[in-house]
Amino acid sequence: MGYSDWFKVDLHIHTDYSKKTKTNDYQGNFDVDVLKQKLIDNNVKLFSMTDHNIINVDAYKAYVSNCKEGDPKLLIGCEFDIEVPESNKTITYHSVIIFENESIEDVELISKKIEELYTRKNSVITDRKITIDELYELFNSYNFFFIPHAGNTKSILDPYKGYDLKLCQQMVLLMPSAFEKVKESVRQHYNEGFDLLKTYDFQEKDDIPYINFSDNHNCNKYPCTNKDGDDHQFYCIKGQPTFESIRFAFIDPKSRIKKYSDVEVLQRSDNFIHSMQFHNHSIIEDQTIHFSPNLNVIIGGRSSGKSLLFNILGYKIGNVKNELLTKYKLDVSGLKIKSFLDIDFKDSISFNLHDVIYINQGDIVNYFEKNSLVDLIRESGKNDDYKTALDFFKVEKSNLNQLIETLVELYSELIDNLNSNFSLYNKDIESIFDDSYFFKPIDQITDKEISFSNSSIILETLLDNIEKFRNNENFNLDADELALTNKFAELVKYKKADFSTLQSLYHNRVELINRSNEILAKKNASLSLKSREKESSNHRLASLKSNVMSLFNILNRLQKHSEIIESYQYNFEKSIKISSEVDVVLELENFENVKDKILEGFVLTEKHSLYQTLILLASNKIKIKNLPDNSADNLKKKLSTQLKPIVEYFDKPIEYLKYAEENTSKNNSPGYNSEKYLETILKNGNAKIIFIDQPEDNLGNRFITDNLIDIIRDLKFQKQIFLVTHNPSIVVYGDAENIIMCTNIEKKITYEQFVLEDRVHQKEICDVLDGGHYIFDQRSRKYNIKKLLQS
Amino acid sequence: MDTIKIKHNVDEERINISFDTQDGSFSFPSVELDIKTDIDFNELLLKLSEFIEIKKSVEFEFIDSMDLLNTSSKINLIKVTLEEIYMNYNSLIQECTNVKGGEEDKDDDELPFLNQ
Repeated sequence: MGYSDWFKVDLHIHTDYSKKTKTNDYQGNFDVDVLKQKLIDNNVKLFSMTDHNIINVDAYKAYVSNCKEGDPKLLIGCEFDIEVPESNKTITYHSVIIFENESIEDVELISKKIEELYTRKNSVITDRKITIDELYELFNSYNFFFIPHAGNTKSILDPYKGYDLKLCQQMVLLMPSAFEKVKESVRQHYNEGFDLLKTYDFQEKDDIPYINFSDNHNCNKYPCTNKDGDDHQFYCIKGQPTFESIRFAFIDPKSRIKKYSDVEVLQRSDNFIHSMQFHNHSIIEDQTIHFSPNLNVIIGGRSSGKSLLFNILGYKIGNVKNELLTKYKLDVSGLKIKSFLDIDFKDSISFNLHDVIYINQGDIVNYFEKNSLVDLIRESGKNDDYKTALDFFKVEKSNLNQLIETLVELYSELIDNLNSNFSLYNKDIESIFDDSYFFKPIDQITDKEISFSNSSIILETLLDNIEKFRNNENFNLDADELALTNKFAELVKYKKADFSTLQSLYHNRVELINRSNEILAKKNASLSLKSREKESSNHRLASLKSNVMSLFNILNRLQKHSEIIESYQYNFEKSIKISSEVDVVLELENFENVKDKILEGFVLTEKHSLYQTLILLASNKIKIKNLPDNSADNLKKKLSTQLKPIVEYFDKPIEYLKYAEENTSKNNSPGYNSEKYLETILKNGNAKIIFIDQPEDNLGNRFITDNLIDIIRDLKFQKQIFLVTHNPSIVVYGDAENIIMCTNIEKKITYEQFVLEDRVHQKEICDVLDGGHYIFDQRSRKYNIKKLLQS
Repeated sequence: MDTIKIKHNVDEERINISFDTQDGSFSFPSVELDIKTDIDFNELLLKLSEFIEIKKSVEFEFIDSMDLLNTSSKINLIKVTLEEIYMNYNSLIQECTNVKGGEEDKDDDELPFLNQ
């Protein structure tokens, strides 16, 4: 596939030569072909034959001479008994030494060196020991790894206990080494011990490599751990099956060493993007590039096609934010794409909106400039909360509109009332006190028509719904429930009949009053002129009383409503919790007072309350600005104009990030906000795939090294990441599984896949990324060696 | 159908109106109609509207010991007006009794549980 992938490794396998140096050490008959087949069956890609203090040169020769391409790769190795004379202890510890060399000549040479050493030391073959200094001297010109037992028996700690454990730890830290045979449960204990020796910068880093091999002593029982036949849990490292991959694994164990059981989980690749096929394209070379389900970085020089690839991918997965057509105007219809779930290439892959986070170059700063965090909310899976918050503001807007509408209605009612007659004429007074008589009309009883209409609706709806309830397929009423329902239906029908009687009675009463009034009116008509005048005067008096009562009523309501509007504030806030550290806040600030804004619409000579102003307006003592009269319609128009900015404000509340009490994006720099934004979106998004084009453009270097890389390293095992970057720290410390190198030679773009553990690729990566050499060098030095030696 | 007897005792300044349901089922306090100045039938009409509920028609009589009905045009007009009101009332009771009878039959059909 061309990217760094996991493979099984077993660098500690014995042959029957171990019987020569340790009595009864190997069980059964060793056969290199049997071992090879077992390795193939178990899909082991890299191994070593490591006997005690001796090398089985014949076995190496036999394997190498029959080795074909694709067979497990063999590295030269040996398991030494290492003594620590300074400790005054006779006990030794075991350490596997793995050499970079692979050729038969090197096997013979290394074996010869070992044999010569023990001859010089006059060692008995079954009691061979070597000091660490002798080991260094013997293999001074070789590259090798030092992998001591650190738990179980023959642990490196044993001879150093009570002598100088710190020296032991320091030595291990300084060498390209890993610990073998350390139980999972005691790892933490080891880490804590080693942390004491680390410099401050590295104390928090959990990068001590632990790795377990089979230590197989019977090829027929491979991969059993030992002579007793325990099961072996394979370990995997990431990269290609090479010595350099092991080096990278020991430098960055957290990212590059995992138990096979953990790797199995990671390899469930979901519908991540698998590969893309370029064929017959005008400006891109024919090729197929594969994508890691983890971290893919796209690098290259200026105008090399990095962002183009980023946008082609966005286009092919249907992301609306890609700029392929707008920015590049390039036809990519012939390009094909495939997901891990697809068998064949196809034109495009569909993802749900929330499956993908897609951040274009410069997008992050734009979020703050546009004052919209909707992308963050959407990509954090908080759409429903956002909708609820917006609905809240809509309701508040509607409430404000309703307040204004009611004010206009009350004003309109006031004007109508003021137009009523409030005079009691002397003629009427005289007539009312005249001796003549008339029949007073019968008072009407309270109008119940609306009340009756509502009750009828309730009864009809109830009866209808009871029927639906009884027959609904989802309620499954049992016999008791059905009986209860029927009883209720009977009750409602009974009440309906009762109600019908009540209505009938009411109508009869009304009818009686009406008929009686007709009789009285006829009688009054036959009375003398004075009686008729008296009747009319009484009627006008009643009307005057009614007008006055009505005016008081409207004034009372207008006064109360004006007070509500005068004290109205729209300081509303809704928070959407994105994470335990960050909320998105939607906020309205009461930037202009509603009452003041209303009063600005009138020609005023002095300041009054809203209530007083409306009275003055209704009685034409003041005027509405720029409108011909003070009608209710004109008031409505004016209020609509005056309050438009406030009402529209409700549609787009301010959105900002709240990091903690008194610490929000409103009072922080754009740079800081961008960092918090990116951190939040990456940590909390529900997306499966993340695209970011050159995040370093908007972020500080310190944030990249202190935060972003850690986030990426953590996220890449949960999500597929595509990053366009110039920053070598992101590539190297982020431990990118797949590096897509873009080159543009004479307007022909080529995409090549590189891996960090390939030395040739390393050089090219360094050439493209500014400061790449320095970062590679720093990464190799896990610890500050100078400081460590001084401690 | 039982009727309610309404008795009017006519005086110069007032007419006292008493009600008799004839079966002792209801007892209504009498109403005094002030006839000194303008005439207000509101209280009487309130009584009549209550009678609608018990669906009883009315019979009425005037006791005029001072022969005021023949000597006072005002009192006579009041008497005539009252008679018209009572007749209208009776006619209304008749109408609603006819309609109600039909409705009750219909309601009984719709309410089987009431017959249980």
